[in-house]
Amino acid sequence: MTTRVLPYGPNAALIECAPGAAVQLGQALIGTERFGEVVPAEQSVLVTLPRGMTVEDVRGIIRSLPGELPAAEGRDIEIPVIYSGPDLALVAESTGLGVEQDVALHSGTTYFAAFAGFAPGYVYCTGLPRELWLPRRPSPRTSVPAGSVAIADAYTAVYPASSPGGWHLIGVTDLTLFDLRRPEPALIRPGDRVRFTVRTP
Amino acid sequence: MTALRIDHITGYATLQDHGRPGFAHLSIPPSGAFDRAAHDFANRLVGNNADAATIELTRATIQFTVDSEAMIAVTGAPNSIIIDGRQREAQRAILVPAGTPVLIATQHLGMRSYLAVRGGFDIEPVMGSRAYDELSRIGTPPLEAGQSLVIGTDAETTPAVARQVASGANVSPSVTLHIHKGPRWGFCDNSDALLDNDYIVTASLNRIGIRLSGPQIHWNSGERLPSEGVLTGSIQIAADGQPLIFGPDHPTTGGYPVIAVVDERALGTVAQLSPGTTIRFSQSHR
Repeated sequence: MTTRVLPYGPNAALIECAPGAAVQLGQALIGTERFGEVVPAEQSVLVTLPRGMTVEDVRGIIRSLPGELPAAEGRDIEIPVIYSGPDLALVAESTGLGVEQDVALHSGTTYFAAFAGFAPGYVYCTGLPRELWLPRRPSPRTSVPAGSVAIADAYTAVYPASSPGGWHLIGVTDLTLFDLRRPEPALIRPGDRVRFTVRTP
Repeated sequence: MTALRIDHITGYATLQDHGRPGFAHLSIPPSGAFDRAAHDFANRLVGNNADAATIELTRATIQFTVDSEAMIAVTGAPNSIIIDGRQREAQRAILVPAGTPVLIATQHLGMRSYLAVRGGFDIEPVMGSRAYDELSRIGTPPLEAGQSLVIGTDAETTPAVARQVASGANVSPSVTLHIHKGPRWGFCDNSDALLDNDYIVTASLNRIGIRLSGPQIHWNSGERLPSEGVLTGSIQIAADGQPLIFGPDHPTTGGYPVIAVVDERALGTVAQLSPGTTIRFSQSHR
């Protein structure tokens, strides 16, 4: 595995990796129990270092990992969606495929929960069909309702709570994405395989 | 069971402790007291464990009453403390009689003060912490008038009464912040501008982040940077070319380049940055 390790101040390091490899690398690094925070992202994993650990030590730890990391651990998550989002028509216009075809594409794919970010329970899922890749909205909405199913760039995600948001809203689910009263608060965790299914209102 | 009742409050006040580190991979920020040293000092003055919850007052004015005698201390940004008509000193332990209103009024210098009560507060922790996280809205919501907080049993040591330890809350209108070059220093054409110019703190600041204003720093390509992990003290350059310093309730990943990281010893100064403060960044060679 070829990676580059960049210093991130004296107490952290940014480990670059191939797209999609961050979950596995993150899980492996958490498994070493050598770091404070381990933050997998799009093509990198940020680690905070215990006192005394250097970037060179991090490189050593990475070299000591198996060359072929085990596949990310994950579960199969199914999310029923009512495809009625306010941006659905605009998305259909941008893709030129029409609403029905866009919905068929979005719901006909198994996604990979690649990394968390933005807010608790928010997970960037990869695998979005190319036809649906659209840049974010030019200016974000100040409030997006909880449960909104959205797409932007190469990702799809579900907004766990009402928040500002710049993605295209194509549907809504009534599942609760993040609930601290559950033993496992996040419905989707990095590493999971996610499917969206069409639910009629 | 002793309680602290909030009679009046203006401004923003939340419970804080050492936060909930270790959940960033689930996109949960570390949260916790922004000025960690001032929080710890307040706890030390009243003999609490360092991790006991304190009230973080963000230029807030609060009046409260305790229903039995309690020991308090106020640290961080300066306040006027009035008990029973008498002005009292910050940065030391104060005994408060039952039923006597205590007024802590902001002096609009710096940003954050810490009110510790001997015993801390008896609040159920969420993911190991009693801190309120402004981004995720995890923890006890911002405090309101009429609310009662039960005082806990987080005291351990003998209070450090009258020991004058410099708290060091830096509330100067012009500060130097030591930084380290970050992983994306080279992603911008003129990152040196950060070191060569003064930047001013804007009014757009909270526990999530602090927006600055000064000479623009330009990304050197139109390419989007993949989202990357960020930390408290990360300095990213937003799309408008202006720097932003992340606070303890920061999102755990962000899509803008992190060109520098504030030295961890300077995070207390970051916590006290108020609108209009001039910042001169200086490269740390630690």
